[in-house]
Amino acid sequence: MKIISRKPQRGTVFLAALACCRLLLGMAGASWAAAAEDRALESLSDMQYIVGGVYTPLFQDGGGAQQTPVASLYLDVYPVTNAQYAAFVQANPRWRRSQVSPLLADAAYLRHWQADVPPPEVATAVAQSPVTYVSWFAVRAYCRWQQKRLPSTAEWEYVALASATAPDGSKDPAYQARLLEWYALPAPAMPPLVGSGQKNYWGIADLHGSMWEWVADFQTAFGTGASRGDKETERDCGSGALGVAEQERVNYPAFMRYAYRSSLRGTYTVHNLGFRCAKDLP
Amino acid sequence: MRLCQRLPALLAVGLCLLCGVWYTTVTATDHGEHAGHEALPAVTYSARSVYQLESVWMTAHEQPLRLGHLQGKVQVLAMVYTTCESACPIIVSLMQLIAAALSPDLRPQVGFVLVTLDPARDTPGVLRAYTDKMHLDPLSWSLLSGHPDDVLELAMVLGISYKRGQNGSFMHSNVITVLNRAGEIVHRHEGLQQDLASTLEAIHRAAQQ
Repeated sequence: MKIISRKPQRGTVFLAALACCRLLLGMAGASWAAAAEDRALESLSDMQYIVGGVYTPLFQDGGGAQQTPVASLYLDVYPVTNAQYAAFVQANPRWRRSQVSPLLADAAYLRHWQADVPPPEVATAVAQSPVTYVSWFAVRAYCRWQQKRLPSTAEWEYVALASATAPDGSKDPAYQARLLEWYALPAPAMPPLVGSGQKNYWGIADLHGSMWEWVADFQTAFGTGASRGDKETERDCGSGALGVAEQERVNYPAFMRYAYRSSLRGTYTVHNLGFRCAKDLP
Repeated sequence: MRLCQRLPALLAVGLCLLCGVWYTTVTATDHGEHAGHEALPAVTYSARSVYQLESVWMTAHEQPLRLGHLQGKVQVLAMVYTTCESACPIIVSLMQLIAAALSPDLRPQVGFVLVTLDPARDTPGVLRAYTDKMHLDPLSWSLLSGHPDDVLELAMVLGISYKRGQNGSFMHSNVITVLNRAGEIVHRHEGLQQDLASTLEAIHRAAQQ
């Protein structure tokens, strides 16, 4: 009351206006959007340039090591966070929990948010954690919205092969032992905050140890070499193991990822399955 | 006097409220517009309809087509490619068997769709030649090619896996999908077995809806 009875100071009005705007934005849930907009502007700086090379697939497609060339690309340094994903959902209502098509995501989609817009305490708790409970269709739409795309299996595995010091960590027994340790740990209820892991040779963080990640062509993980029959009728563990490339027999984590991907469907949402986006060179 | 003193502050607060609303609206609109891929379709389809996909395809007659254009008929759909020598001709012949088994009154209510897994090679011209080679009636058969991304998306929706192998062949699931008039998946014929009874039954049921 005292303030009102005095002649209002310009500064006071400005501050009141600012507070008022913030309140409004907060109510509309736009603060996340604003934060993510800032991020979008610096999206390329959140990516790392990866020099292309060759990836040897875990499973061979009928005789002889088949080398898959990987072109140079940009890859997100960190997995996409809940806060970033919230901005996407806000801008694209069809990806809200309540509105998503059952054709594009299963019933557990964004389960941990509890509502279309998570309650503030949930939002704060998960903001900087990788978003999970997201389907392949959903994460693909997110990357498109960012004018990016999902990385392919070959790209993801090529980048994930690197240790902290070398582009190919597969010949480094100490690094392989650490990888195995990570993969042996039970998954936490929620993946750790982004950036809590070590960056690898390419400057990419959190590829191993915290969760699984979607790739564009996860569905190409066929069990056998020359299977033209229906996938459903040809899921045969024994024949799968026979197809493993000789030099990959030691790469057990890669085998786990392969097995995991082949168990997925595009609509699946899982508590420890997130994603990051890639981008072609301009 | 007191009101006069308060007026500027009230005005400022009011203006600010307006600004806040305007900003929020603009932010939301901007996102919608920049994200062209995510624009809502003009027609709304059921939550389980494949026709929600916004991809644009090219017919063998070089007409652009959205899957929603297939709405209204029961559709029998498979994903194949024309240079495929083993499984695909069998899939197509199974679909021809289905077509032949339909009663004359049912026939105009059912469409047949082949979507190529190999859009790089299966251009509209190639698909047109394939239509002739396989004796597919252009009135009831649609052969579609599209962007590789959209091919993958449709395959995922239909639960079809595929992978390009060496020498340009593909490994792929063999699935014939029946869509009802609204574009919802009502039946999947998996594998290459000749028993089409349950598929025909699904088509009859869907046609009666």
